Amino acid sequence: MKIHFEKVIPIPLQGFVSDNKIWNTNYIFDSGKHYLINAASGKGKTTLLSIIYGLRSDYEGSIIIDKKVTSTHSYNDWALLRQAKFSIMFQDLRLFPTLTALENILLKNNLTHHYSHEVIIQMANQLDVANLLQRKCETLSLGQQQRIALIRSVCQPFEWLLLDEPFSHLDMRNANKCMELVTLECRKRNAGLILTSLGEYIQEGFDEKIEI
Amino acid sequence: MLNKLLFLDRGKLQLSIVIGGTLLGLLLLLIPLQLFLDFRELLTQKTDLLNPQYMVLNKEVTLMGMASDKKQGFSLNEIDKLKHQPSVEEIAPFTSNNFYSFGVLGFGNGVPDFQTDLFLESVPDKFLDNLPSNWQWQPGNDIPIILPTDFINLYNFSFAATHGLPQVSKSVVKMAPFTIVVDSLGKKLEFKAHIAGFSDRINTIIVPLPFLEYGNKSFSKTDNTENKPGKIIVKSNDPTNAALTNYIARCGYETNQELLRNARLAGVLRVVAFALSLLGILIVILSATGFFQFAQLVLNRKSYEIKTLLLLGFYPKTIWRYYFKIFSIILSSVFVLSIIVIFLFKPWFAEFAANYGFELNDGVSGITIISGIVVVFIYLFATMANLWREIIRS
Repeated sequence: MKIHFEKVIPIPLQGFVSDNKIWNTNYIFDSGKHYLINAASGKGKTTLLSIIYGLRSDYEGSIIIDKKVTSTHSYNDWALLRQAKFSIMFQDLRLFPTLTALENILLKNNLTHHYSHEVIIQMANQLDVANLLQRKCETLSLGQQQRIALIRSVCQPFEWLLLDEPFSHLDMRNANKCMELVTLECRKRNAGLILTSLGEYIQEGFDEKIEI
Repeated sequence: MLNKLLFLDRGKLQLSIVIGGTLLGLLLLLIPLQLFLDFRELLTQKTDLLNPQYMVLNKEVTLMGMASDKKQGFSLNEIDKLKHQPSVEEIAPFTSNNFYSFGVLGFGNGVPDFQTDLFLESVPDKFLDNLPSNWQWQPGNDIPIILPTDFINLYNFSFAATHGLPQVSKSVVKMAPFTIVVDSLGKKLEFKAHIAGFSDRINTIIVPLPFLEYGNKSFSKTDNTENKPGKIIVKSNDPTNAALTNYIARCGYETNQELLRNARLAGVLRVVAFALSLLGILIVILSATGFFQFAQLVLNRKSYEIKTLLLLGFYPKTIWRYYFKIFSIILSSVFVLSIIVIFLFKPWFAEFAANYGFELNDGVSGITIISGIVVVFIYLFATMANLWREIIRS
């Protein structure tokens, strides 16, 4: 499933961008490929993922997925896409603070019953957060919350995984563990990955790096 | 888990206040409605006490009328107009005897015979209450007579008492031999007759219509077709109808004064019930606003959760359905509570009303319950329509 960008430019960025690979030009994200988007703050990394995921419509141009212009999708189309084709990890994580870490993960997993309870525990073990699963998210540190949110994002079928600065609060060792998990989960599904970053340590293992 | 996320984790107080307010609003609509229905039932009951279905009308005797030697009566035109007034069902003129007659009633046993000039009147059978079983007349037969109950009461409680005479029961009166003597056109004919029954409704001596038709044809000195009926009987499905009573007053017709007073009483009751219902509707609107605001509050508090669920791929309708369930449960409990309160209130109120001489039944009308359901549905519909808009917007 390719993602075509046709002359897409977010309205807030009009007049501020020049000479880049994505905005205001034609660009195709190839299916199954892994992309790293490097940019400083305010260059539109989150905007890029939000536009693909259908959260924003304040842009010009069109995005075509599966031969369909996404701006014409209905609420139900988006719900379906978000259940089976796209998975996202938000920069602000969007966990539910009053639910436990496990409840947060299950809420998502139960939509498609993608993974068994055991697999979820196993992933939590892998990222050293298994002992936190019964705690409410509001009591977890940002780094811990990031790992919970990451686990939640892979608990569904997807063809594209969109990660918005997913390791910003993690140390090198933890970031690497997370990247291993991400890579593994994408390979399992033969899925594409778009990961945005401020240009920190994780730079390896991508098919393409894009500066915007 | 949705329950934990989407409903008020705090704000139990608000929930109770909203349930209380909605309940109050619903009760203030349904109770006046129920009372209105009860009193309406009372007003249309077939008792002649508060709601006679039959009215006897006559024209007021005025000085002008007395001066002219023409008998006052209803013209065909006037009867026709009256027939087309609201809530008038049927109308019939009284036929009266156009020949001289007197009656002789003998009890025997030392009670002196009554002999008195007679006026006989007749109305079509369907206007009579307590129609006697043998209410027919053919030449050669006994003439059945219906007397006003007041006559025998007058005799028993006023005349007999002051004259030291024995009182007589209705059944004795019915057995007494009665003779109607017609003395007209030089002929003097005796007809055997008997008292067949008593009427509360019509204050005159009633005989079967065929006898009067026969008598008027055979013994009348004048051509009775010119006679305008002096009294008419009106059957009305609502004699207290204000338009009808106004018309009667405007035309100068007279009817039972007590009946008019009752009509006024019924009018007052109706105005009070209407005002209460109006107030109830206003209060329902107010409480609906309260409920609506409560739903909006829940939504605003949960906007992060709703938005995030949508971002995770939940269908808008899943979330909507969840709230539909919650608000349905709240509203149906309010409804059930209100019906319970009304069922408890009703016997208490009936007892209270009984002290003032109103006989209400203890039950709750189906109309009240259905109205409650309709109101609750309107609440739910308005709330859920708004909810859908808000969910889509997030």
